[in-house]
Amino acid sequence: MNNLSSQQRKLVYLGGIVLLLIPTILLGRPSSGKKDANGQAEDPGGILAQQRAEYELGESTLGNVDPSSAAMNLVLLGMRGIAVNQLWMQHDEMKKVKAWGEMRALANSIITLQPHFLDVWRYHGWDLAYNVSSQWDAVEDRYFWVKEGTKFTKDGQQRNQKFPELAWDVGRLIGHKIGRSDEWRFFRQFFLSDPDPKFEGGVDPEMNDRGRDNYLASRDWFLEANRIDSLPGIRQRLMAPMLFRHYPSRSYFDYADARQREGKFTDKTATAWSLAYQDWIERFGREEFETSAGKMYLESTSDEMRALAKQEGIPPEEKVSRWRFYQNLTNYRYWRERAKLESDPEMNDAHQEMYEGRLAFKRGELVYGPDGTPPESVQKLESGMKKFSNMLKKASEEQADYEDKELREANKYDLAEDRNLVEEGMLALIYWRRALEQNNRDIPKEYPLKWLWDREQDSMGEYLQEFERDLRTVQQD
Amino acid sequence: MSFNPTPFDFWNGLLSWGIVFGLFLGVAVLMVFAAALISSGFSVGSAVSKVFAGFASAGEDLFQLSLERIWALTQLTIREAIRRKILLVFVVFGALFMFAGWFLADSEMPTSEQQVKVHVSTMLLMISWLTLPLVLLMSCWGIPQDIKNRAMHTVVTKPARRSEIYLGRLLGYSAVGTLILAVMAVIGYFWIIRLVPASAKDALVARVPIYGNLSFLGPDGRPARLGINVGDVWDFRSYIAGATQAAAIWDFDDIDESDAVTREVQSGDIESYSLDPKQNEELGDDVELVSAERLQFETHFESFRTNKGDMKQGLLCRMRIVRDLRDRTARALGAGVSFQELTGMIDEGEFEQAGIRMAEFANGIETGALEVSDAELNAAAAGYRDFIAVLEPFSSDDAGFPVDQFVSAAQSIVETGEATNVDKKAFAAALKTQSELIREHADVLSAKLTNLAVDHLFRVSEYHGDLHYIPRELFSETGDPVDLFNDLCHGGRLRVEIFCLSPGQYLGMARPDLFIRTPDRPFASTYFKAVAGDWLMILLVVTFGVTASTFVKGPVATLLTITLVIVGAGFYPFLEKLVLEDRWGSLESVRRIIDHKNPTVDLEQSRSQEIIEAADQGILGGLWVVYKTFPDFRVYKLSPYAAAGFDVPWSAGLLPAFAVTFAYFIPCFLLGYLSLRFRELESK
Repeated sequence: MNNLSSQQRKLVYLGGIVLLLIPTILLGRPSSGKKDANGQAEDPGGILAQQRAEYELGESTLGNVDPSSAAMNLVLLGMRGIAVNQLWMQHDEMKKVKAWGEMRALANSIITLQPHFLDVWRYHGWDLAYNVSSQWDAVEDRYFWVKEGTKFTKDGQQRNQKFPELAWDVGRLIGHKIGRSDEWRFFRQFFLSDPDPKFEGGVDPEMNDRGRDNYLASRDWFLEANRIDSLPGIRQRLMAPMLFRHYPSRSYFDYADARQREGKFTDKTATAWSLAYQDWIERFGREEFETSAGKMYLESTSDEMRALAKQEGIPPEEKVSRWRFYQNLTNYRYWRERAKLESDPEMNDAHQEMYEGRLAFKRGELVYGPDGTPPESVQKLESGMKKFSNMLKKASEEQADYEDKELREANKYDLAEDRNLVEEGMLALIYWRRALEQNNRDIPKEYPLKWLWDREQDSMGEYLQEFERDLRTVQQD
Repeated sequence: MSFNPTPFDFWNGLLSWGIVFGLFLGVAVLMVFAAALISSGFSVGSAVSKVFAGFASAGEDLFQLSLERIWALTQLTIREAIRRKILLVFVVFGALFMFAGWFLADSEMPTSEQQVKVHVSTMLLMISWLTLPLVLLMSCWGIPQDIKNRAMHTVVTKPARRSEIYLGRLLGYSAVGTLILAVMAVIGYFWIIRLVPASAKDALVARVPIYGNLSFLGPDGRPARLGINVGDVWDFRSYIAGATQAAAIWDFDDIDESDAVTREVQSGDIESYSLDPKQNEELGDDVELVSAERLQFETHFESFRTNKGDMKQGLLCRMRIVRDLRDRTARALGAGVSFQELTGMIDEGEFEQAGIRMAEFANGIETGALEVSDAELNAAAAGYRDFIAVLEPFSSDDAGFPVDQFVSAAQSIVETGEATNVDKKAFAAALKTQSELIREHADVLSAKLTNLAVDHLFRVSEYHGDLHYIPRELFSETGDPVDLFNDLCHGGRLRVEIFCLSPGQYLGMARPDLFIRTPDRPFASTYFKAVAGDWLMILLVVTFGVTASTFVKGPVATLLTITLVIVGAGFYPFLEKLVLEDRWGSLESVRRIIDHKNPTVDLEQSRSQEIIEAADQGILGGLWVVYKTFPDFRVYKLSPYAAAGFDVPWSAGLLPAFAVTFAYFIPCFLLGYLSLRFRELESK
């Protein structure tokens, strides 16, 4: 070798390189990507490419590939960890000094280096939508940051299509953050008509491409999360499986409930409740769950559970006990009864009349006519309270007739004790009584919902506070 | 704005530099003398003459420089650098340009200011990160390479002084660095102009602010050191409580008509607009805008809500532009516990009564009936100093009272009262003169020294900021016409008070959160000044690199320079904290760990403790020298100004950067020259 000239040595090196490249290319040759009629790849590529596809180790099998991210990771060689640490420290500093723009840019840089780190996506998505948004004063600005957090998480979901958690997070941000925060009235409106002038009063297509209610949009994301969770080899690690999978149906409940809170008592609201009821008992209720006590269906009876236990060779009492546990875990029976009750048009009327009675009171329509005709506020409230009382009683009676008597006794769920409904009834009662007091009229001995009034005397302080707050609330007709 | 530009104290900096430089020079001379003493067999006379001969020759080398030779060496260095394909850095720069957009935030930021900030800071960071390592390596490897390949031999055999070789190298590398930086900066400028979204182009400006001094009033209306801390980890801003007497007060100096700007306005009243156009009400078709001169305030307050309140609107604020001559006089003359009752009298306009009472005080002090401490008289003297500031802007001709006599009497009080041991008789005499003047001109004083205020309400647009246009003709709280510059500005001094009117809410502010915005300069002004900061940093790094390479080889010089840069740029705040914070030293910490004494417990004073404390002082002293020796690279970081849309100020921005570079150049030049002179160039 030493006898070779410099040029000869270089040629030998070149030959060696070419020689080594041949097996490298053969082994690592990528797949052509085209598939034949049977769904098989026309050219599956080299062994390494095949193995990568089989064990799902390639970037593209995880989700959309971001070229900048892949390039950065390559360029940094083994220094990615150090660079990421530095970026995180800067990110925290920027957050401390409220430099939100820089902080957002740093979150992007971090994610460029850690594109498949689930918790990093989840942390930043949450941080932007919840923590940063609450730091801003104007509601429009807050909504902007909620959108930033949602879009960020959505981007994460696109790049990591095997993480059901990220799809669930997007669902939660669109559903819970927009529909349940202090600014929910504004946010829900902004979701349908974005405050940013560039959308000209329409939706932000990145948030709401089909122009739907936020809860209906969030339902799609929860369904997507469930779909990913059902794929072989994938399991979400956020919560108990039953809780995770009940979210699409919960979105229906939230949708119907939000319409009521906004004072929208059209047929659409009653239909929403009935849709929610159907979805709850037929889709979620009949979903099969594998548990430590064998197979489980939440929409079932204790007799059915015992029969199933016999087939599986599991002690029946244990099966029934676990079944009750899971029903309680998801508030299964409450939502079933509530949705059933709310699906009834009479219940819709009761809500509407009590709501309109309250509005009439706020408008000052509370003086009796010269002929003793009650004002609109009193009329509406009385009629609504009557229907409301009837419906609650009816619900209790129906429950009493339930076929599963054993369960009924053990875990009786009385809607007449539900906090939301009780509060609504008590508010209507306080408004009604105030209207009578304003007219110097005595409270009659018997009136609708009297049983509720008598029962709730111990918590009157809380209800009066709620009444004062409600009185100040700016209502939208 | 989240930083607080404070003017650079040049003379103090010079003094500090002189001490450290003198200390090093002294040690060096001592060492040279010791070496001369040893080499001359401890003969003092011979050693002294040796040292002087050395100084004379060094002086010649340092002061008799040939510009021609330096220029020739500079050219040689530039040619060498280009031959070493140094300009290939532009390829990397070009590549980064193409992909830089990837790493910027995907979606638009909510404020134009933030959109500009991200683009400008990214570009300036990219330029400095690319240029810095390049010039560092270039300057550290130049001279060692020359020595290694014996090119230095050719140079030293020519009639070139070692100091000229050093300067030639330094200037050559600086020129290459400057060229690279200049090209990148110009390209970067156009890149920013092109890439910043059209909606944010308005934020590409260089605002020229005039900052005031900030003070606070507490919820009870009394002066407070700071506002309330609402629990922020970052204590930059202080908060005032809504619907209380709490206020933030800005005092501006030297304000006149030249600070006004021409603006399109709707009316002759004070107008406020959010810097976020989306939050401003749309102007109707019937609204006509007219150009007018306005004094322009910009505010950036932060809201902190304890309840939801009215979510549709920002917090309600009250701005009072105040001329508080009566209040200031009352505070000034009532300074010192014994004289406090004068405050109330002057507040009520009873100048004559106040004059009589002052005479009584003077008599009491003279006879000893009124016992006053020196501290009280010192406080009173400080008050009269402010009284002088109140009086001076009045000219004697139209003031209606003898301003000069008033000032001279007050001056006497200040002079006698400021002493450590006050001559009470002299103080009493001066006070008496002042009291007679006040009694004599009580009516005029009462008419001239009045309070005047103009009120304005506005809603805060958090994180966007607000602009307030103040017209010259205003109406006071009492409905009288007021001239902004003649009536409200007293001697160029303008006071602005801010109150929060929303109950249960808090308003946060820091000194730079309210400023007078004078006419803007073009964005290029601040951008290239920020680049000048980078340029001065590069010159310093070249200076370090070239100097280090005169006494150590390339790799070691590189490591040394990198260390200086890392400590100066990354750890300087840490070093500052170690040296300046009043804490115990490392040895006491070790003792506390061993003794299980937590930081809140005081240690018993014993002999061993005294030794530990003394040793710690020694260590801290050493650290102080290190702290003063390492350069503070923060002075070069001028990009935040450009990124935030502010013009880089001379005193708080460019001056310290120039000063630091020049301050290091002198000792580095000396060190570099001496190393080249005494170095054995044969060794590779």
